[in-house]
Amino acid sequence: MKKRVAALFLAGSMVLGLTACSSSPSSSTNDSASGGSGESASGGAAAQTQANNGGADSGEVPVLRLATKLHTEQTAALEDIWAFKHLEKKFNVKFELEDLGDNSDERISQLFMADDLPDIMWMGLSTTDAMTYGVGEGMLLDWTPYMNEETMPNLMKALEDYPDALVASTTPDGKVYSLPYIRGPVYANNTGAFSGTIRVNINKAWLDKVGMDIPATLDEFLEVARAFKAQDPGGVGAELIPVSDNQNKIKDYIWNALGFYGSGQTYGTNFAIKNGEITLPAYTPEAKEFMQTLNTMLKEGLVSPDYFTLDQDANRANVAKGIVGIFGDSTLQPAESNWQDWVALSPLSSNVNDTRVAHVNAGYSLGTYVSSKTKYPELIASILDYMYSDEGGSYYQAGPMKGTEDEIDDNGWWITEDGRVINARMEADSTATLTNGNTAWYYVAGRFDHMESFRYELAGVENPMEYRTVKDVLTGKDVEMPVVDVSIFDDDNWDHHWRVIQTDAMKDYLTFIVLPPVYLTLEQKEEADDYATVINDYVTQETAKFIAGERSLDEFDAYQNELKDLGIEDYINIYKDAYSGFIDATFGN
Amino acid sequence: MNGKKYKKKITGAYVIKRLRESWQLYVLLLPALIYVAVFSYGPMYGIQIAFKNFRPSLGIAESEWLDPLLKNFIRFFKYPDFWKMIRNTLSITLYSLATFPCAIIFALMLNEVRQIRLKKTVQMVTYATHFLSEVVACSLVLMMLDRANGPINNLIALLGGERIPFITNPKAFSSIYVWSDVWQNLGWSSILYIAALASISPELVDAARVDGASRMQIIRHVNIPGIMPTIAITFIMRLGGLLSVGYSKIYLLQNDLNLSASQVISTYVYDIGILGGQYSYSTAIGLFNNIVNIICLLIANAVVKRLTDTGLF
Repeated sequence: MKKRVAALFLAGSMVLGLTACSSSPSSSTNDSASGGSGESASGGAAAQTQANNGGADSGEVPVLRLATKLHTEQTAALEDIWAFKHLEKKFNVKFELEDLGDNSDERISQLFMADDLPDIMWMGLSTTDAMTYGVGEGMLLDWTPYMNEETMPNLMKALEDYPDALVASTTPDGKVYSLPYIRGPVYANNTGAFSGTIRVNINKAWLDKVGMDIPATLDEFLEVARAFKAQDPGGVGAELIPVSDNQNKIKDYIWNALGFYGSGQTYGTNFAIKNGEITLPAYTPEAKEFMQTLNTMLKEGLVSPDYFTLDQDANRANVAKGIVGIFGDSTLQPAESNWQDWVALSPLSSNVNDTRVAHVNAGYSLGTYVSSKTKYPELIASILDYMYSDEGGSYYQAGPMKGTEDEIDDNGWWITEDGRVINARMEADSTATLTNGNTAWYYVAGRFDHMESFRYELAGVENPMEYRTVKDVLTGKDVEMPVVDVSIFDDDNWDHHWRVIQTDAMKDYLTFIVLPPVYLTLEQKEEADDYATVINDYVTQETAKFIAGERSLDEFDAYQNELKDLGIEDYINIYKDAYSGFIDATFGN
Repeated sequence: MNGKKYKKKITGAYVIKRLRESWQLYVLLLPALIYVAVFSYGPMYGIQIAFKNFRPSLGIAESEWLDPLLKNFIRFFKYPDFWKMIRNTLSITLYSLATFPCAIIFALMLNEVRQIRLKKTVQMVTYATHFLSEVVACSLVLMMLDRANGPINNLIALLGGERIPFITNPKAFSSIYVWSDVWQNLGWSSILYIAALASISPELVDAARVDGASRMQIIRHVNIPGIMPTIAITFIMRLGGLLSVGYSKIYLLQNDLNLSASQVISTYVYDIGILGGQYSYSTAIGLFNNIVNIICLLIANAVVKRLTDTGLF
């Protein structure tokens, strides 16, 4: 009998163990009824009260689940980030933080599928998710009831200044499921030069040795590469690689020389603007020029014979080894040992395009989104509205000013005599930035166009920024862009140097805007996905064959017909329609 | 134990009697049964989303049925690259199936090694690669085959040949995939056969030797028949995975030039399901995959059973 009881007990505990494993962890969202007035009660007065008394009537601190990820440059752990501690203190809330990690796309997909969205998704919403889970499923909080002067005054002011950011955030059903990240057009600043430009660098010492000028056309670019190959100015011998294509930036650079711009991603299979029209670069006559150019470069040994298999690390290692003459990369880090030798290349013209164009990012994108199930919509509204205030935006990106009561662990910034904004970390490490330890993901709801000027204002120091007029390509309008004199960089290390040379190379060619986000209906998206998976792979594979010389460029017309048979024109039309709707709504032309 | 003894008619009373007799064993079996029920049979209820327009806010049961019901399957069959993916998938799995005897031959060879220390060392060395992660294994493969610095190409260059860019050649893709798999898992997959060989009675071998059989004859007439049931079962299991190729290794070995050979069903499912969020559609593709696999398994089982008198069921 004893034995039987023991066995039953053992078996029972095993079974219990199993069921315990399979049951989901209890929901971490605070289900206290006292906190929020529910999602149905929306709008002004209620929200204001909520914000004023910190969101909890009974004194209980509301707990908000917040998921985000750390920017790749961030060195601090998520729980140590100052910005969240500051918001917790200011709004009397408690965040339960989750780091979405490197595979954030997969994790976000899981959260949606399990209908287990955290209260706040502290990062950018994709247009697909906006359509699927906002319009389709109603899983995202619609902000329109809160978008008024009383509840979100700072947001309303920002949207007045950036009406296109509001249009970009509005789904076809007229709702707003994400509050925009607003950076505004920035000519150059002390956190990073021109987001969105194609960054390509050339070894000036080598260029001087071969006695040539900085190339201005695609042909000149090839001539320089040829001279590097023939004369080997660095004396590196057989290992020499005249041009190294890190992150596909050389490919993009060639597409740009052929007259394409506006794509935030790699060209070819992504939509871009050419002559004011939406195009898919791979399905244009210029695609032949593109492939011809790379084919020539490969044949003549101007790029590595292992062009198709070199990964980012290998490319960077080659630059670091000193065997590369021209390379594209987001910074100059691969060439940190001889950073003084490098200058940045300006956009090129070519025999099919006579305008040299560098596009900068539109200055806004879709930002933070919130679960429609949250118990604290008004409280979140007031937190996010704070992000649109001068203090909120500036504090989020750079932390508090030194000596203020918001400072924690000596993380405050100050302004030096020569006008630079620095903190203790930056003083110790010249390549550190203001965001270290202060910020999680950069592209979140909030207004960051005034953050620099606000800091000078707060410190009572004269703002050294100037403004420059840049033409917006889509509208033809002139846009005022704040300028920071690049002399604020010491130019004594690679990290400052790339910003200086980029500013130099791009300043005369800047145009404004990359393609805006586009909303496809679920049917359109399904159709587009089916086309895209077939077409993208086919284009990638055939382009590689043409470049490698495995397929003759005489077959270019046949290739374009093959793409036509795959339905590329229908595919393009889906996007053309979607974009035209947006452009009409934004600019009325 | 004589199997025939239990081939009498099974009645309810008999089952209960047997359960009573050895209930302790059944209790020990219980966790495994629960595991299978919870993690293998339980999730099967989700298969219905292949026939539904799955919406997370409604949940699996509440989502609407598709009209037509097989819409997702039709979409998959009409997908322009359908045949290409099937062809690529099969060319890898069938090729891989062709290397099936490698582990058997390896086990037979190892069985002939008389020096225990050498035998153990070889076993250890060949097992070790199995524990490498896929990423590391693929990096090693890419390094070995590298055109500029890889040892294989260095050897070719040393012998005066042209360096060969193996990894960008779509024709070489399935070979690289399959043979690197053999290299990585040869030792591990031979464990089963080595165990089976160990269970062959030494008396049989001795008797054969006394009768004047050579080593090869012993292998041919004693060892191979001895492990035949194991071979049959592993073969059937392998056929059951005919349309299954994992996407991670493919992605690790993929590049623009070998793309035409490296697009398989699983990479498509990953793109469209996990990244594209079309869960109903990718479930339908997964279900199609599994149905084909089960059919293959049943056919293989029937054929093998007829030929060797062993099978899964």
